Amino acid sequence: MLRSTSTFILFIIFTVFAQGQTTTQQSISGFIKDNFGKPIQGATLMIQGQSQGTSSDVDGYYKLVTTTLSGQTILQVTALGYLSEQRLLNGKYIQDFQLKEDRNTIQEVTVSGIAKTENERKVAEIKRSGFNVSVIDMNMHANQTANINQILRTAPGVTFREDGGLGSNFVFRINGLDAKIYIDGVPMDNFGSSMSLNNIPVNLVDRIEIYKGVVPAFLGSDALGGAVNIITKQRSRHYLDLSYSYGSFNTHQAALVGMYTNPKNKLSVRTNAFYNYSDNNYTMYSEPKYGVVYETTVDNKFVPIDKVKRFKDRYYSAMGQIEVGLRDKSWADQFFVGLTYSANNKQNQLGATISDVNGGNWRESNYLMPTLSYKKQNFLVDRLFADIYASTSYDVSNIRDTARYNYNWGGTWIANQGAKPNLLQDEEQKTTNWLARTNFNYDFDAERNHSLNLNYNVNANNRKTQDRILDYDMTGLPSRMTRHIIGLSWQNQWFNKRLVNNIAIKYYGLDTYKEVDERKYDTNNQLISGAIVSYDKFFNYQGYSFASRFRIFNDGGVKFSAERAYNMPTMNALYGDGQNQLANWELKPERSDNLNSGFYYNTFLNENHFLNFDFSGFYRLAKDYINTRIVSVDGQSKFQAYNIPGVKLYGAETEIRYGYKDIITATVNASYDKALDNVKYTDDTNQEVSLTYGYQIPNRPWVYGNMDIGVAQNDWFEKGSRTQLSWTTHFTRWYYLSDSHLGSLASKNHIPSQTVHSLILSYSWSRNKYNVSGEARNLTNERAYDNFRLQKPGRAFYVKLRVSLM
Amino acid sequence: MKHNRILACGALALALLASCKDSPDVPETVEKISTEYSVWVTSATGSYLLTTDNLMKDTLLTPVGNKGIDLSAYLPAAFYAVYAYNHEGKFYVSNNGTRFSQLEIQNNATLKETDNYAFPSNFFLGKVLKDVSTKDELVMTKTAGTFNEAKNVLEQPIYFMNLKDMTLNKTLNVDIPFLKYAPLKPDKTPYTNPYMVPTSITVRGNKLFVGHKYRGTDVSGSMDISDTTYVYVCDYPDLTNGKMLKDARGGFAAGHWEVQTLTFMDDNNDLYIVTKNRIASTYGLIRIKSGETEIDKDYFFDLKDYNVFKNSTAQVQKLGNGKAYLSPYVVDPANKKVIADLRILVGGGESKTTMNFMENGKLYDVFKTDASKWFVFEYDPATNSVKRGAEIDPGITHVYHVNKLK
Repeated sequence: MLRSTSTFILFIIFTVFAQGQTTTQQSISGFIKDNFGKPIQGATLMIQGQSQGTSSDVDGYYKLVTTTLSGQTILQVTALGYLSEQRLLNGKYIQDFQLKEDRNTIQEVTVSGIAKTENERKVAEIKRSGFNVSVIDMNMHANQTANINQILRTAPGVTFREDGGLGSNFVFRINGLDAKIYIDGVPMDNFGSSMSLNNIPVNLVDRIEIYKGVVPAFLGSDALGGAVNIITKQRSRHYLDLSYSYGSFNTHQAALVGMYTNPKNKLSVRTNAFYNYSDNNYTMYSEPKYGVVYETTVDNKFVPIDKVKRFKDRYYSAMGQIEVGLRDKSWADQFFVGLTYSANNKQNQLGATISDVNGGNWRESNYLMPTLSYKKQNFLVDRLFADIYASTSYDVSNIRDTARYNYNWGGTWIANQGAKPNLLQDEEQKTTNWLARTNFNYDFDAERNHSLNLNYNVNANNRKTQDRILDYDMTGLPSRMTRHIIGLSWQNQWFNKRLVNNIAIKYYGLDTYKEVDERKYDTNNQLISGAIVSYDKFFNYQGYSFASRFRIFNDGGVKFSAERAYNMPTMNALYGDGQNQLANWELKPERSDNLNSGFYYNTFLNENHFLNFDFSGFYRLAKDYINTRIVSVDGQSKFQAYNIPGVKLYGAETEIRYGYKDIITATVNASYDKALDNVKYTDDTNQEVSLTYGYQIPNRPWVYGNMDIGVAQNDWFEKGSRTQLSWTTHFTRWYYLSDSHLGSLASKNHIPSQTVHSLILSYSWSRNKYNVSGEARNLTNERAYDNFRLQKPGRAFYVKLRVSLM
Repeated sequence: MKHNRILACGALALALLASCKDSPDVPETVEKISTEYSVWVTSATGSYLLTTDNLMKDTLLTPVGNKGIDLSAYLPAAFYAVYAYNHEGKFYVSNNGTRFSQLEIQNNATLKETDNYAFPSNFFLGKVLKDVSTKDELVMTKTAGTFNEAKNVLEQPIYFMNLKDMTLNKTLNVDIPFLKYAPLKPDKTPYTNPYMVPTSITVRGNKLFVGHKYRGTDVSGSMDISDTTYVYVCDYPDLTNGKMLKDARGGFAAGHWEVQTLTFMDDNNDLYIVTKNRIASTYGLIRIKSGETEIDKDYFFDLKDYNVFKNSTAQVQKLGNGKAYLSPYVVDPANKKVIADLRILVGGGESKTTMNFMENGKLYDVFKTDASKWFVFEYDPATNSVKRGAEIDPGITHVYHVNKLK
């Protein structure tokens, strides 16, 4: 695998360089950006007096190949919404442009007007729609040694709770609800355990769309209250991005993105790959004031120690993906077949708490997924867009515990004096999954004033488990789950697009099935009762949503959305993962009635300063709210999903962003996110009033915020270089571990307030072709916890090298 | 200049953040709580100890309004109440598999670990041999011993814990023969990993009696696989001259890993052991008469028509005057009579406690009435009557223990 990947990387590098060598003499290339350094997509570069031209891509990058260049050639750059610029070529074949905003045009018209690709069109529509969406440009973070989660958690309304370092378990929520995650519109559940928010490097991703409240119908599946759509890097030109970072805790992270398209036959090859490794051997400190005391044993007594180092918590993951296909054919805009292989190995030192120190507990997974995707504008009839995707995957996971003895925090095993060694665990889970997703969008007119969108998503999982130690085989007892989600939406625009509405209905179907051996025998081996019993459940629901946006002024407006939506349990929540997650067959789908409203305003103080302001609020009534608790099984602490019968959530968030040219950026956001137990009675006869009725759900963050300040200097040391210093701060206010009103305050535990600062210094040269960056994360070595006593990594340093060839 | 402004704003924001407290305010002076009696309760999300100076006074015991003690830090799950034992006013808890804690309620409404013992291998508190325990020494077992394959015995340790400094005074190991008992699954293969669980352990004079049962595993999980009462009897403290007693009339020796004991001795020193029918889940009593080391073949008190331990197995109490408490019934075991049903005496209700207690010849237990209210009740065996005491918040989902602390 490693050898074939290396060969492919060399092939891509050779191809890109070879392309560069053969075309440099006859081409002009560069970046077209706005006054704030943001790439302008769809800008047109023309040679004056000629019909030759090209347009910039998502990076603002353009390249024009021609044979008619001379020193007197005049280049003209135009982009809707920006003042055009002319420049004499003057023998410079690399030309960057920085266009100033034309305040006489409406930004939204600009956005839709330049939308050339399906992806651009979708983004433009989303921004214009009533959906409450924020977009994070991951290219801004490309020089960080970060995974997606570290960027995502800085967005308002987002909480991301981890129990350790790289590759650790996490719970991700938007506005308090369990949000679904998509990769290029495909639910992430289908990509195997190696593709996770906390191990996908930032370099693989173009942008992240965060939807709060109502989620567009084209994102199938059962998103409730919010969703994240990760858009991976896709270019129609040659492209190569390589990065490698090394840092504290022996952490290595490498990423590769490569694309190649033959300009003649439009044969296109694209690949993504990453590799992550970390020992995760960071230090955790006793903090008695937070109820955190690590201990060791001396003469059969537990005695406190100041600090401990995590061990046997190593994690690695690797992924390689290759897609081959054709672009811009009469029968397809894009047709790709792909193959994804991923693998990971995760040691599991701690379960859900710090009580159980495992020495040989680990899980490894091998995953293979062939895919097929097809996209076509004007499919069968004009203005009908088709997006069809299908995949099937095979995952083989081994869950093992090879330690015969318990460990102490010193990292040494303890003999089971007078007792047998621990039982070994060796369980193999084979999971097959297939997914089909079809999306059709029909525009009734060229202006797209009225559009219908139909989306169907079917996803089937089948798991068989075999215990490889015990003398019986559980493969005869399958666990299955099939989800059907159908959505139909009507998008309409009124009053010259001042008012945009989206009305949708959705059907949810969930089919679950499992077999359990319930036979009981007497001492003579006679069957007394029971049989192998099959259990199945079928849930079907209808949901609906309405999202609207009214533009009050050019750069400001209000948004409102309402929905009834459902969140179906996952495979692991229903059937367990065989390791840290305990099954809960009784888990029911979660329903939520959601109201969201917001106000946004973008302004320019003059052409060099911009100020964005967003404020939004939400109100949700959730039934069978899916939460996570810690339960104990045979002395081992496990996570388990469970339903809280009713929860009322409300909150608000605001974000202010300021920028000065491409030199200064500053973002501050704050979120308030309250969840109250909303079921009064605990019995069927309405006699028993719940102790927690009307009180806050404990053990969840509810006040948090972020600050991000960046200053940059261009052209230090050499022309085309950029030096950037970024300072980020993440704050979470303390919260109680258990119900705040029950039991004396002196006896209560809490997760403390924490303010985590990080500093990133990066230097890029040759117009962002080469980058080097250094990062100090958790600079003040703050004691950071998302879960009680499970301290996260402290101060850590990383250095990253990146080469980006276009 | 612009840089400076931005950095100044950032510094100001940081200063504001730094001024935020990292922890909630806890009042410096807290109301002192009573430390005479306690009830161990759970809500849907937590476990609490509620205290009072008098169980029989007209008061409401509730954790609401920041009353009582939150146990969340000590106990990852409410289930652990069944591994907790109160002895001489202190709680003994085995809460993570190796740690054995001595905990004391403080009058500032906290629970403090006063000492601990680190077992080198898996330990969960099994049974307490209260008849040989003293004020300063707790004699106890762990939930399950170790199977010694070479000797084909279950080595069941009995620990003598010095409570003054939480050290082990001594450990005895009872070797209980592991019988060749293996009912087969339909495919004619034995259940996987059959194992033995001691369910009761009693010292009477110079004899030790260990009731135990067999469990095994199939694809649907672990389960009881025998329907025979096994009692291993040997000399005490020599642990010699052991022999196995068997009786098939009442099922297996009832109980599991929980700390409450399901045996008692009456005024004649006759030992009674609760049995359970595996399939019908009904209970009975067998007897080993005073001075005997055989099960009394002429005695079996079948309680199949009674809802004994309907909600959970509870501590069996000797009430005196030939009576015993098998929740929720008061029985006269020698004459095989049920004397009272406390569910009726309390006016309609159910008991769900695992640990009740006796004081001054009276029994204290907690019942949930038909009106969904929890009350402490005092039962006087002399008059066969009950009195209602303190109410416990009706929002409580379970009451595990009612304990005397001083």
